[in-house]
Amino acid sequence: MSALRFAAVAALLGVALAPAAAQAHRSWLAPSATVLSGAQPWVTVDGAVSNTLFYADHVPMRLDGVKAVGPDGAPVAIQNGATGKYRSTFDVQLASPGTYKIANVSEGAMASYKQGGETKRWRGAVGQLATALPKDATDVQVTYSSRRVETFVTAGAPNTTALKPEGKGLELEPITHPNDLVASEKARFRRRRASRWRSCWAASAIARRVRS
Amino acid sequence: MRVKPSWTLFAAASGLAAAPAAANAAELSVSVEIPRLSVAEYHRPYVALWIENADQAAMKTLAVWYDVKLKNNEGNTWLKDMRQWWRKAGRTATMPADGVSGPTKAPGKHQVTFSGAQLAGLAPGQYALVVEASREVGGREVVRVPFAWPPKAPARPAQAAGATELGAVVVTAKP
Repeated sequence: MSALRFAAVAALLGVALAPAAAQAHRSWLAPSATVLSGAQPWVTVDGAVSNTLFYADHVPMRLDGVKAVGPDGAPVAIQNGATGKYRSTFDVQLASPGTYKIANVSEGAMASYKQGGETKRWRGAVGQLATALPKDATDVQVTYSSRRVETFVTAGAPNTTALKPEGKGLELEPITHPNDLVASEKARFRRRRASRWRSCWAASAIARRVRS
Repeated sequence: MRVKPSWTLFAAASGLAAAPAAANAAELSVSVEIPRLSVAEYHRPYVALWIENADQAAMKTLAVWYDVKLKNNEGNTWLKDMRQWWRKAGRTATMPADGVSGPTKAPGKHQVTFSGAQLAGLAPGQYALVVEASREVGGREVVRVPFAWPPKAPARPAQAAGATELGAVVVTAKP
């Protein structure tokens, strides 16, 4: 009965947060199904970055930052990951009933500083920031960025443990369960912004998008 | 706990001392027609029958016809394709369930009867018998037929019909 499609709505949800880079190309995740029954079902998820959502015609999503959280809040393995020319694909087994969050999460830092009167730039992981800049750097300006693309799938009855925000950067916390959406009915989400990111340009850029 | 007093109230209001016993003698008779379709690839539909109250909340699942005999309960994989039933009742139930699960049915008219005892716990009021059919490589359709419970004499059949996946659904609540 695969002719019945549930995937699109929930996949769209995930993309609401995608344009962190505020550029035209949008990254997206599209699960093969979002509402599943039976024992330990599987979903196959496509991920790519493209101008038109769900048309893989630009570059594949890199799977390094893809992770899944199970109905008990514990991490769930990403299996059979493969990256093609235009699209990545991976599987998640829903071993116990409940709601799973599948997300591509990345964060990083950019720094510009002066060393001997010369402006320099650095870019890398947040954890490396402390050691990466030279000791005599002055006028240091650091920009943190955090981006996440999320989608949700449910085996059996839904629960909300996996929906809880992680408290990093800007997140969208579902009030209406994302696997309980009804066409033409209102769905509600809460915007969550961790205080550390309040002045971060990336966060405010996304915040504007979410608000509008 | 809330149901019993209202039964008593009903009995008192209608002046029937034996009302609860009479309600148990009552029955809900449902005829579901599965249409014969001329399609290249035909699979029998999965069908769910359940009762909704006036708020369209599911009160009770009466029957689910699906591939109940596949090994490892593999038929459960597609229970979610009866989307409304799955969301309202199926996903919180354990399948297969005694007296509810049954095999898929061939095209034709199927008569099923549910006793008053099976519907015990339904407070007096207006309900709908809902039938949802979902077919592999096919479509999905929901048909609702209103009825009052407990039934009043004379028993009048109520009817509704689907357009694609279901034919006539006739519900007769007999007192």
